[in-house]
Amino acid sequence: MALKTKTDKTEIPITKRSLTSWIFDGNIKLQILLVAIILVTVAIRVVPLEMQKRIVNEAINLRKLDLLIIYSGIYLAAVVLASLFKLAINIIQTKISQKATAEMRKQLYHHILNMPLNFFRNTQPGTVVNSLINELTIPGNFVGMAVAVPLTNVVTLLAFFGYLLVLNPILAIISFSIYPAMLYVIPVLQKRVNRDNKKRVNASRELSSNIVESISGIHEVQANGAFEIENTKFDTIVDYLRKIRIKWSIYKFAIKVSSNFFINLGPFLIFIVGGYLAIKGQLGLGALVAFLSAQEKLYDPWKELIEFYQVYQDGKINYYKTMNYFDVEIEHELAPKDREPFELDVSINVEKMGLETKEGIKLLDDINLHIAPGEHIALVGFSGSGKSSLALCLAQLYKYTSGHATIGTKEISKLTKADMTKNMGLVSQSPFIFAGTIKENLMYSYTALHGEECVLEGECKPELDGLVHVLQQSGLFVDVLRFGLNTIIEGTAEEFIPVIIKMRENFQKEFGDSIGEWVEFFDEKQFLSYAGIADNIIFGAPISEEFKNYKLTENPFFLKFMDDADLTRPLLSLGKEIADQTVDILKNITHDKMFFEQTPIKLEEFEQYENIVIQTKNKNLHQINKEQKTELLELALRFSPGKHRIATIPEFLINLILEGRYMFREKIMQKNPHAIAFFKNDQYIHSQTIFNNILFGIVKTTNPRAQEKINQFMIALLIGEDFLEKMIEIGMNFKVGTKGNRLSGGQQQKLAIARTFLKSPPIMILDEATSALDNNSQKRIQSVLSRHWKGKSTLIAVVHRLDIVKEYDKVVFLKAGKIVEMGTYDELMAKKGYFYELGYKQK
Amino acid sequence: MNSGINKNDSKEKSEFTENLNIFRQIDFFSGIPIEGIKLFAFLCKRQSYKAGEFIFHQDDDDGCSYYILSGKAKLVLNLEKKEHFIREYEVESYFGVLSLMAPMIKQFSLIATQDTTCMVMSREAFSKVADQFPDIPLKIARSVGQRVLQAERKCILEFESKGRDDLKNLLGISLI
Repeated sequence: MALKTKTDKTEIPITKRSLTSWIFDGNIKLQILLVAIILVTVAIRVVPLEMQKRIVNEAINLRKLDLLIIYSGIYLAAVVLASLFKLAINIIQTKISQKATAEMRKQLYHHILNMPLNFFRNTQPGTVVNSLINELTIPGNFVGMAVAVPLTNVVTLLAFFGYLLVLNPILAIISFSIYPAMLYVIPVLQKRVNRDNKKRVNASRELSSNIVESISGIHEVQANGAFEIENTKFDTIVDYLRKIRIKWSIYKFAIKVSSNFFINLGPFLIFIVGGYLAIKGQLGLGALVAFLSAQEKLYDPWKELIEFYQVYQDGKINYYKTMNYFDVEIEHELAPKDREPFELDVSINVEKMGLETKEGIKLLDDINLHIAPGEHIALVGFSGSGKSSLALCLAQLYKYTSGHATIGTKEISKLTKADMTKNMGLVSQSPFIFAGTIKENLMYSYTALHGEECVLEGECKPELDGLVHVLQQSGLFVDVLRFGLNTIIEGTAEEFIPVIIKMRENFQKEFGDSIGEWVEFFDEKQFLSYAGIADNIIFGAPISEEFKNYKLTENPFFLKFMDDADLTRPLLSLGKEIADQTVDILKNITHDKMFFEQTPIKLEEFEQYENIVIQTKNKNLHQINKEQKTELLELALRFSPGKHRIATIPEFLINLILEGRYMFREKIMQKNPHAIAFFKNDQYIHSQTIFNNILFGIVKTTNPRAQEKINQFMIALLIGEDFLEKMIEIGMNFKVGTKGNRLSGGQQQKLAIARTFLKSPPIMILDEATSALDNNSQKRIQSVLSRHWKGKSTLIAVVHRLDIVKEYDKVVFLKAGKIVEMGTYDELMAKKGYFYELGYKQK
Repeated sequence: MNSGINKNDSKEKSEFTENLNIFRQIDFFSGIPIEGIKLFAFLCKRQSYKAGEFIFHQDDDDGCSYYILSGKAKLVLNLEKKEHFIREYEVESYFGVLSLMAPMIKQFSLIATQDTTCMVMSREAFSKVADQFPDIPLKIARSVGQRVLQAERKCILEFESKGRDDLKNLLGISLI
């Protein structure tokens, strides 16, 4: 199956294209339509001038009502038509400009993804984001305006000028004479405004950093009594800023005043010259009105032309700055043009290969290596020895600068990306995990190879067994199972509920005694440290909406119950303690999700509670207002002493809560017996995870070994109940978060390995792919590689742990970019050279 | 300790307050602003181990530092032929600060010899705090440097007073 890549229409790379080349690219029809509409519009724009003249000269002068109505009608029709056409012009212009921006973004993005890796080492993602999102907006706008604006305005000016010339040549020339002067004066002033604005921004920055410096160093300032020094520094900048701001403002006002002046000068000239001519009988009154009206209309085209020039300048600068930045030669074609990607014979030969940086540093030098199909080789050496560089050269991610490297008979540097991806899979040390589910990430390489359509339409859709198999091989199986078990069931999964309740029964029967010390079982006589206080009081799953946790503080029945059970004041006091403590720790820092795991305050609520803490500072509970009390009670009801170690819950309050639990049950049974499904062995608890439902309790330890034990029991149960695969399926829908941040480093590596196993490429390159895994997981994956993949896939692994090297057919030791030793593990150990020494050091 | 409730003391200190007091007494964290220490105290967790259970394993990079709150633990080194007992740690011992700052394989195993509870700080939590207070790693690095220097001084004294030539190989470690 050929790798589908979109080839761009033009052969010239986007970074070499000129800005003007976008104007007609794919827009010729639209631009021609635009020109036609513009010409018609301009013609229509002259009509009102002519009508004004006729209304005055013919209709009013000759007192003809019918003419007045006809001319006014034509005037109105022309204005309406001109407005409609103007709207059409704007729509076409927007279409062209948005199309150009979108096309520039797409092509640039395609180009960037294919750029050499070296480029990205020195480039911040933010720069790329900014280039693609912001920098191309103005060039796109320019493309939209490029035909419409100059044409509309130049033709409008010419049409008006022509018309006025016919009416009266002298007055026409006088009317137009103002604008060249204006065109000269305003840009000069604008330049000064820009220059002073730059100075103003710099001075403001300097002022800010001065303030930051003196405030951060206030100890030093006060201890040294250096007030005068600091004041002088500050005052000098403030004075400079004052002067600059005055100059800047004066120039800004000057622009306003001079454009007003020029605009008002127009009618003055027309009145004085036109009036004189009218008195002398050389100009009709109608023509004078037409001149006055035209004069007013001339300002906009001039203004638009000046603005267009500015957009052109800015657009040009942004466009070429962006394109030059990304103008790096693409090293490899995406896909072959005239053939399917190769299925290569996977023997690898490297001859005299070298990799040299622009500065002349030899990262790899004179590398000679032969790898037979299915052979497993380990690249080892100290850091900086070139082992990763060698692996990445063979993966075509670095382009070697001398010598040869071939897969089968094909030179790696000449292969397309599609040839490489068809034959090779790479797992890097810090694999990238995309936002989405485990399953989507697992299928990423597989889908890229087979094409989205084929995988989605089902033709090459992998079987569940296949997915489970690679999860087991990579060691991610248990993690995925855990994600499945930690799911809170919603919607379609409801069908599993009866099965889960049955599993609960069997779990308690079989394993209840063995896990007692790590689990807090739901027992109505016991306080649950790992559940919130509200959960402890209600001790059941609310069915009625008003008893859901987030609604409790609005529920009058519950509030009255808390008063009756003497819980309100102690809980209020607890809520205040939690808020005070959390705000004290987390104020003035940039917030991170992790900081909110130990407190019932959520990240998005922090500001709200910070305000409450400020407002209730030094106040007693009875002085706090009703809203604040509600918020603080809310906090206390969410508080779970086992999870939130920020406060403690006094013994007497625990007793009150346990008593309250019975009292609440009694009261609710009288008022609304169906509001709550109390925790009972035969009831599913919808607010809890599948795991907690099977357990009928909450795990209270974070000790990994205890958790592993519980997991083992759970897996045994799931196997017994024939529910294991179902649970894996649920677990594979776990959302991994942005960049996989809900997964640990080890889980990310395991997922990356599983994704390569699923693709099952003939050549695998593992670049320290197991570095974040614990000892056992590393050994397990190594054993899978040796047992299942030896002979099947060629493996080149950069290895940092020497205890797993024994399993490889050949060990290659690199030092300063050269291969200094090569052979089997035993041969190299017997040689007692570099490898032996590195092994000794690691021990 | 996992219940989170210390039932002996009615207006007792929260776990956070206890952690805060402990952190303030650990050498490596002296000199760090109180706001940073509070975050450490807030983010670290408690972990209990049964006698005989591993707290950490040799050759693993668990990315954690440990402070013994109760119980005892022994440090052992497993070499190919046998297990060597290095020493026993008691309450108030702290170790693993380097693991917080960079990936680092533990060269020894620590095994609880009694039921033991530790205050555990993870590298992830540490780096979140360091993001807020960028000076912290530097301040800790200084303390670590001092500690290396002290250890080397001890070696030099031993080398000088007892003429122990076998220590020669270790000398110069402060010059790294």
